[in-house]
Order: sequence, then C-alpha cells, then structure tokens
Amino acid sequence: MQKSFPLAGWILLLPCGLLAQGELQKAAEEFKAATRELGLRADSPARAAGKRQYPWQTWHGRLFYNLRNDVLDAVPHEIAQRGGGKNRLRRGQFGFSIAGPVIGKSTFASLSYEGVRERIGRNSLRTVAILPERRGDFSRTVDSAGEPLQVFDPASTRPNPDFDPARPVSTGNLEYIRQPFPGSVIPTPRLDPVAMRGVSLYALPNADAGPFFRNNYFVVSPETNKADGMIFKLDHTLDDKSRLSFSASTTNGLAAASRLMPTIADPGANDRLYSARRGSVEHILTLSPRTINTLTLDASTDRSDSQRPGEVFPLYSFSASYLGMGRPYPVQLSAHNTYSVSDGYSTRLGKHSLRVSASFTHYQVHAFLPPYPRGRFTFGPGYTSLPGINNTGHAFASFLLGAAEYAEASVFPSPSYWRRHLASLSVRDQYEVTKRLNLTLGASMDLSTPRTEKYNRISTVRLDALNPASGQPGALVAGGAAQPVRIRPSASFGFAWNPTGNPKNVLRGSAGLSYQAVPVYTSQWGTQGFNGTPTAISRNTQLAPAILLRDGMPALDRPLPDLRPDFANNTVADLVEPTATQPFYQSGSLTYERELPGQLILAGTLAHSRGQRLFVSNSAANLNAIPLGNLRFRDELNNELVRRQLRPYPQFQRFDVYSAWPLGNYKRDSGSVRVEKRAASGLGLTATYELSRQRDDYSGPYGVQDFYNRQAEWSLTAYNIPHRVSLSYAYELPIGSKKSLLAYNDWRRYLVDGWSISGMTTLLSGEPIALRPQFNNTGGLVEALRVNVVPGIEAQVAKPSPERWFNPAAFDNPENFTLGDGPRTHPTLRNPPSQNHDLSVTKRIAIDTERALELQATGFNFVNTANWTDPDPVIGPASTPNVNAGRIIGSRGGRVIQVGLRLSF
Amino acid sequence: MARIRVPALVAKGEPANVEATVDGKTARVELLKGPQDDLLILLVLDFSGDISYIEFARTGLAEAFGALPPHAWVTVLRAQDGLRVLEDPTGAAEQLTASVNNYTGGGKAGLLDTVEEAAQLGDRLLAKSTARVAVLYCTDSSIYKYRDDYTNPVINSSDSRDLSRRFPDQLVREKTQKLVGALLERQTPIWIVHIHYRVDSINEAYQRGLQEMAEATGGEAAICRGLTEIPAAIGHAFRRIREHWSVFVQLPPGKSRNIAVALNAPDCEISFRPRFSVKR
Repeated sequence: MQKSFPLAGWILLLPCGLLAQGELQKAAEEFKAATRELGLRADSPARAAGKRQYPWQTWHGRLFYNLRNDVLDAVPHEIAQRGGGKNRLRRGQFGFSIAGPVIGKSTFASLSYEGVRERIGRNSLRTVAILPERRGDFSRTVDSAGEPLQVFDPASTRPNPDFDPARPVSTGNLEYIRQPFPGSVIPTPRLDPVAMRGVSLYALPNADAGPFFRNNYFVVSPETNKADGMIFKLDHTLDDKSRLSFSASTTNGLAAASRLMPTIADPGANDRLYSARRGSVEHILTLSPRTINTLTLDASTDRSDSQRPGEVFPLYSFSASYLGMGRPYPVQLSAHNTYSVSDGYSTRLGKHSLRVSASFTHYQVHAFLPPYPRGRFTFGPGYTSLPGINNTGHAFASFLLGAAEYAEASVFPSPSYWRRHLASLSVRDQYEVTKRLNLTLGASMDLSTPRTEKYNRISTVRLDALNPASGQPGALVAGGAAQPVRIRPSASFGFAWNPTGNPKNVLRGSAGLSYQAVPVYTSQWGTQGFNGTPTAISRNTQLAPAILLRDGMPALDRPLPDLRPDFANNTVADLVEPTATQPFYQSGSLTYERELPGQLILAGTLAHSRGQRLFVSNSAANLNAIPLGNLRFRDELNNELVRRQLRPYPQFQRFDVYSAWPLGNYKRDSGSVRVEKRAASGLGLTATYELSRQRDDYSGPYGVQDFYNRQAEWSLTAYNIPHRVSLSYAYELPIGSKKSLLAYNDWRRYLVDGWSISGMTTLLSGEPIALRPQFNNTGGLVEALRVNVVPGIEAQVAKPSPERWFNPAAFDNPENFTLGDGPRTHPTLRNPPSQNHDLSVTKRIAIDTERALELQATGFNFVNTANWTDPDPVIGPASTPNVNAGRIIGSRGGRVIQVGLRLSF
Repeated sequence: MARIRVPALVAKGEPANVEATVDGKTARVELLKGPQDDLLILLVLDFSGDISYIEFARTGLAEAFGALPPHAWVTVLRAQDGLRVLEDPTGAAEQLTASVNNYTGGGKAGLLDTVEEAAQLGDRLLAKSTARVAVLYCTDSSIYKYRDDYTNPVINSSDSRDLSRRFPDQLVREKTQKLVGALLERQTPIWIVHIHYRVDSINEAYQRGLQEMAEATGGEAAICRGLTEIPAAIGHAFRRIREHWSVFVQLPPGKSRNIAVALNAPDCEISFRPRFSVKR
C-alpha cells in the first residue's frame, strides 16, 4: 500500500496501484500531447515543428558600454610621491553581440563587435643629463656616494714610465697617465658636433626625485589607442549525425605610443598598427553513439606595422643610467600566418576510450626588422676615465666627445619570409581498470621541420667550417636549412583512484614527458650575408673610441648579398643551433581531493617538474666567451687584440643565438592547497595557497657570470614566488523580491533586486633579489659580475623597511679582475611582497523576462593599496658605496575604476 | 483558488502532518505525494564532449533505470538544437537503456537553451496529473560548447589595457541569473548531474550557475570531478528524485507575485524550495 495522504479536497478512493497507473498514464499522455504540440517529437505536425517565430522572438544579444575616466581613479602612488596629479584618461569600450537561428533550428548565427577609443596620459620617471653636463661641465657631477666624479681628458693620455706590470693597476701604479679636464669642464671646441645635435634634441631635467640628480626627468605624455573587431560564427546541423561550424574574426588596432621626448630622438616605443584575421571550419561527424570524428581547418594571419613617420634617429645608449636617444627597430613590419588541419577520432572499445588525432600546421612569418638602420652607438665611461681606475669618467662625457665604444648598423635590403611545418600524431587511451580506478595513457609523435626561408636567404655560422680569413674553425654558411628535421615522442600517464570506494575521496596522479618544438622567430636572425651589420669595435675602450660620431658609420665595403665565409668576421655573428635540439620537460603531480560537508571541496597537490636544454638567450649562452681563468691577464684584457686571442672563435665578437640555444635547466617543486566552496545560497569561492621553489641556471635580469660552469649558476629562479595566495569569489546577495532578505514586492524591489559582487585577491611574496656590483672592471670578460659576500655580516635586517630593506654591508663589489662569490639570485633576500584586490559590483535590472539592464562598477586595486617598489640592488665598493643600496625609493599602484552598462535582450 | 506544488526532501521522519505558510501566513496543504507515489522523470541528455565521460554516464543511467520502482517512469529527451523526445515515458529499463545508448551527442551544449522549456513541460504535466514530476539533466557541457557565446572572448587583441575581461564570468552569471529568475516561475524541480568538472574560471561560474538553478527549483546539482564518480552521482540523483515529496499548497489570497513558502512537520527534518514566482 502506498503512502498517500488524503487531505481536504483530495480524497483518494481508488487503490493506490490503480491510481498510480492512472496518474502516471495521465502524465504520460499529457507529455505526448504537449511535446507533439510544441514540436519536440519526430511525429509532431509540421506546423508545430516548423512554427514560424519572428527574429525578435528568437534572436537575442547585448549592447554594452564600458567607461574609464581619471575622475573615478585614485592618483597612482608613484605620481602622488612626485607631487603630481592624475593623468588624463578617457576610455570608451563599446559593442554589441547578436545571436539566433537563421533557418529553423538547424542553423544558428552570431555576430559580435567591439570598439575601443582610448586616450591616456602615460608617466615615466627617468634620469637625464643635468644642464651643466649638456654643456660639457661635469663639475657638479657626483658618484653614487655623492662624491665629486672626475672626468679625464683622453687627449692627454700617455704611458706611465713608472708603471710596474708586475703589480695591479691602481692609482699608485697607473699604466697610463691622463689629466682631468680643468675644472671638470670639457672645452667647447672639443665637443663633437653630431653629439651636440643630439644634445639639442635631448630632454631637459624637470624633476628632482634624487638622490644626486638621479630620477630627474618626469614626463607625462599622451598615448592613443583605437581598436575595432568582430567575430562571426555560423553553426549548422546537417543531420542527426553531423554538424558544421564556421567562425571568422577580424580586428584592426592602432596603439600610438607615448613619447618620452618631444623630438625625433625619442627613445619611446613605436606607434603600432595591428590587424588580425582568423577563420576556422569544424565538422563533427557522429559515426555511432560511441564513435565521433572531428575535422578542423584553421587559418589565421596577424600583421603588425610599427613605425613613426619622419626621420629615423640613431640609437645612442649610455652605460650610465641615463635615458638614451633613439630606439632599436624603428621600422618593424611583420606578419604571422598559420594554416592548420587536424582530425580527431574518438571511439569506445570495451573498457577503453580511445582518441587518435593527427594534425598538420604550416607556419609563415614575414619580417622586416632592421635593428639599427641609422646605427647603434654605445658610450661608456672608459674613454673619459683614468684608465684602469673605477669610479672615474662618465658615459655622457664620452658621448659629448663623440667617442662610441661600440657601434653597429643594420643594412637590411629585403624582408625575410620564414617557413616551418609541424605534424603530430597522438593516441590517448582512458582505461577503466575497475570502477574505482581509471588510467589515462597518452603518446604522441611530433615531426618538426627546420626554419627555412622562401628565397633561401638564410645563413648561420657553422662552427666546424674553416674560416678562410683566419684559418680557424667558424665560418658563415649560407643557403639551405640550418637544422635537420626532428621527430620527437612524448608520453603522458594519469590515474584517478577512489581508495575507499567513496567517490567523494579521489587520489589523482599524472606524469608526462614532452619536447618543445623550435619556434619560428619573428626576426631576421640568421640572414647575415643577405643582410649586413657593419660593426666598429674599440681596440681599448679606455684609450680609443670604436668610432667618432662626426666620422659616421663605416659603410659595407662590398654589396649585398655577400656570402663569403668571412662575411660575419668581427661582428656579433648569428649562430643557429645545428642539431635542432629541443627542450625536454618532465612533470609529475599527485592530488588528493576530498568533498566535505557543506559543499566544500578540499584538494592538496604535490608537484614536481623539470626542464632540460631549455632555450636561453645571449645573456645565458655565449659560445665565444673567454674562459674566466684568463682574468689573470688583468688590465691587458682591456685590449681587444688580447681578448681576441683568448676567444674560442677569435674572428667573431660573440654569437647571437637569439633566444634559441638549448642550454637552460630548471627544477620546480610545489605544494598547494585548494579550497572550493560550491555555490550555496548564491555564494561560491575558491581559495588557493601554493608554496613553491624553483631553481635554474639561466634566469635573471643580468645574465650568468660563468658561461662554462652551469652548476655555479644554479640558484633560485629570478621570478620564483614561494608563497602565493589567491582568492576568488562571487556572491549573489540574498536580497530582493526573490531572495530571503528585503523581499519587497513593491517599488523597492527595483532598488534591492539583482545585486551581486565578485572579487579576486592575490597575495604574493617577493621574488629573490638579484644583486649586482656597481663596478665591473674585468676587461669585458664577465658580462654579469656578481657581488661578493662579506663573511660574518647578516644580510637580513630585523625589521625590513623602505629605508633599509636589506643590509648592503653584507656584500661588496669584487676587486678588479676577480669574480663575485655571491649567488646569482639571493637564497633568502626577497623583494617586497605585493597584494592586489579587485572587486566588481553588479546590479541587474530585469525589464521583462527577456530583457535586462546590467550596471557594473569594477574597482581594480579597489582598496588603493600601494606596493613597494624593489630595493636598489646595486652594491658599491666600501670606498664609494651606493648610498641607495638596500633602499626602496617609493611605491606604486592605485585604484582604477571602470563602470559599465549592458543591455541584454 | 491557486495552488503550488512545493518540492521537498525529508532527511528524517515522516511529513504526514506537514503545515505550510506562504509569506508568513498559514496556508492550506491540500495533498502530499511522497516516495511511494507516482513519479515521472524527464531525463534530458546533453552530451557534447569526451566519449569516455559519456560512457560512464551511460553505465550510471542503465544502473539507475534498473533500480526504478514500478511507479516511476522515465522519458528521455535530448537538448541539442532545442528539446527533442528520444523515448516516451516508460518504466521499461531495457527500452530506456537502449534509448540512451543510441543517443548521439551533438557537438554543442544545450542545457542553458532548453532548461526553461523542460521546466515548462514539467509544469504542464504537474497541472494535469497528481504524479510527481522532476527534470533530470545529465550533461557534460562546457560553457565554450554553446552556440551562443557566454565566454566574452577577446575581440581586439591589440587592446592591451582591456579590463573588462578581468571578471570573465559576467556573461555566464547574467545568463544563469536570468534563468534562475525564469525557473522560479516554474514548479518542477530540476536535478542536474554534470559529469565533467572543469576548473577554468568561466566554467566554474557556469557550474556554480547550474547549482543555483537546481537549488532554486528545489532540486540538486552534482558536479563530477572524475570518471569514477559519474555512475554514483547519477544513481544518487535518481534516488533523491524518487525520495522527493511534492506538497500541494493552496495559495492564500493576495497580490504578491514573489512568494516565500515555509514547510514544517513535527518530528521531521524537511528541506524544501522556499521561493516561487507566481502569476495571480
């Protein structure tokens, strides 16, 4: 007997079984009638199935406008500290999307448009030459300790007859004698006319953030951005078994960069015109309920045209922290085209779910990127120093004399058209071992072809080819692919196990091995001979310039293309890794997940990953580095002829490996806890804490000290953040006519209905501090000299503060021609932690069942938190310490508000 | 006199003497239908992804059909390109299993587009019969698989200062809130078993939205985080649907469109759907 409770008005007299059949039957009959009437059945009348609906009944979409204006924002802390006000900000982001069926229910189309109009004031705080320095007067110039800095007259240089070569060069044992400029003023006739033209275009100091005339140029200049884009999609059901989808998108944008100087010498970024087009077609064929085939065709093109109209200015850079002039790559034209086809076949065989997929991708990169068409000139203090003595001379003084210590130009007559293919075949099996244990096994084979050039305008230095000019190995080889075709396997394994049989407790594990394919780089790297880089090198940067500005850059002595094996001699030669060695990654993780009462999910994960032979750049790979044992030659190393003899490939300055030399290694260990609160009463949140340690032998802002001892470079990864907390949440407020609180049904419901908030919070501990010495007097042997650790002095301070974040006395500048014994990144010192809190408040106003208006206010860093900038990591010698070392000069960040309005219909 | 049917779940005891209030005023309970009473489940299949997940769902559904009591029938529908009937109401497990096994997904997700219509259909049955009616969605849908775009994809890739996508779940939330509002006008409880949990923020918002929709109707949602959970989650959903009560409450006179309902039964732990939007 079933339990039905006869209550008033519903007296049930029939036996329950009969009633049940009757009521169920009644419901079933009504179901059939209703579904037939609504056109949900195969046997529905055509009138119902194809019932005409007008577009305004079936199409829907949204209109939106997002506004940002500086009136709503806080003054950024870095500007407030300079006493400045808000920068102008006007930003409008607007658009629409509309979607609906086109033909019956089988074809569905959607179109989205978005436009952006933005004008923003961009601020920058830099250091420029002070007014007297621009005239050649260095009498007020001081070093980093605030002591007067001496500038010497290179014209007065003569060998010191009393020099004792057995003793190190010092003020008591000078190799060369050189007189300071009288009064530290360079006589006007000595000033280089080309340099003085540069000075006339150089920014004037206008601020005094200090100390010692540093951070004396504060500029706010407008930046304009404009973009328009669209996405169109069409989805068509061919029949019950197949579906065709098409999508196309287009965007055009202009990013007009802000100027750091209002002249053609501006070192700021180029204006950039950007466009992209994408299209894809997908066909899904359901061969049977357990077999699906998906075929996808994709094509995309991204173009970038980056330049400014008008004269291109040479690039002048100063080894002092002064703002330079001109910019690299003043003309940049590039296009990336990608065409791919892929097919995935999924089927079920017994307890195995198999997926076999294959793909083929063709990459094209077209690039015209001459780095320095008007030349690059670098200026250091050496030429105006007392030779061999630190803390003398000034890069800007060398510039005023027109004496560049290095100069290079780019003669690029034509673009490069790069090509590459990637083919992949993969298999994945999900195997149900038992109801409590599932395994996932995957394997794939990738075939990658080398980077080739459409017109075969490709070259590289081959280290085993004989150079006819020097008779030594290492010569330019032009034409043909520089690398072989590579076929690489990868594999993955995973499992999910319910150890107790309770599905709420799951143990998951995964492991994988993979290789990274060699990318097609957006550059004209590897085209020497077809393009030229005339280079001028100083024979001794303390004694003679590489070039005088007034003399100009030497031209190429032979026309291009010049494919002789010695063409790249005396230059920084492009070197393509000849074996196409690919970075290798290994990873593994173990996660325990448990669902707790109250819709809480707790997951703990341990993970390990490592990478070998990762692609590194020139700062971490230099095959032409002079072995550091040669530091014993001390001041002789300032002589280019001496250095040349010590280089493994003397005919080259060094090699440009771009960012493609497979040499780096890393290891990462992490543990994390994730708590997820599923939506209950409108609240959902996710909180994650991660503790990690990552070490490597390549990362960091300065590069490695010893290219021949990778083990000595092993230290914390420069961007390793050991503690990371993130919290995201969304809450539909429990107020309003359909909620438990303030359930007004009168006019007040318009005020209280539809409120929700969502937010994100991130707390990060600081990255390891990478210290560097103020002076690097190693004759150019060591590019990234480290500091020395002073024994017995604690680097940590009890209460880190902006005035003293760490103890600089714990470190020292290494002696001349010696290495630093400190680590590349410090194992315990960390930059300041940072935090960010974003919050979005939304009010939804339902106009009717289909239409609604949404008002949204989003606060980025809504609590207006200031995050400290990093402390000054430059360590000077005890005699002339950097008074700023270990100090933080300010903070950054500020609240940004965006308000938005969206009408959905 | 208007009446509503309030879905309720009983953790302990028997709600024989259940009492009801509407907007704080005592309301008459006209009839009570419980686990031993007739039940029609509108099972809506919405599969568009990985067949290994779908296969586990098929296993779970076949087991659940086998455990159906005689007074519970199931009808099978699919959600792609609008609701379509795959199997008329029946209690025959083999027939239902065959229907599920023959169902081919469609590559596109359909839950958000059909859930309102499914609830509307359920309401028609509730209006014509005293049998309990519930909708059960079995889905593997990803928010990225919908024909409509709720993911707010980047359109202008050159716009580097776009902050409008910092909270990428806004469109999903807007859609699910709209559906919650619409479902409050329906009386059919909705259960959802999502067989493929995804961790990206937009899908998390979508999955939260599914949960809110189900809870708003007096039903429940389960999101399976792994393959092995799927059969158990489906079995659990069927069991809860079978166990749910349908309380027929007469609405007292009034103008209120949005009403708050409370049920109370002595010696009984009862959870119920607390809010309805009704047309007077």
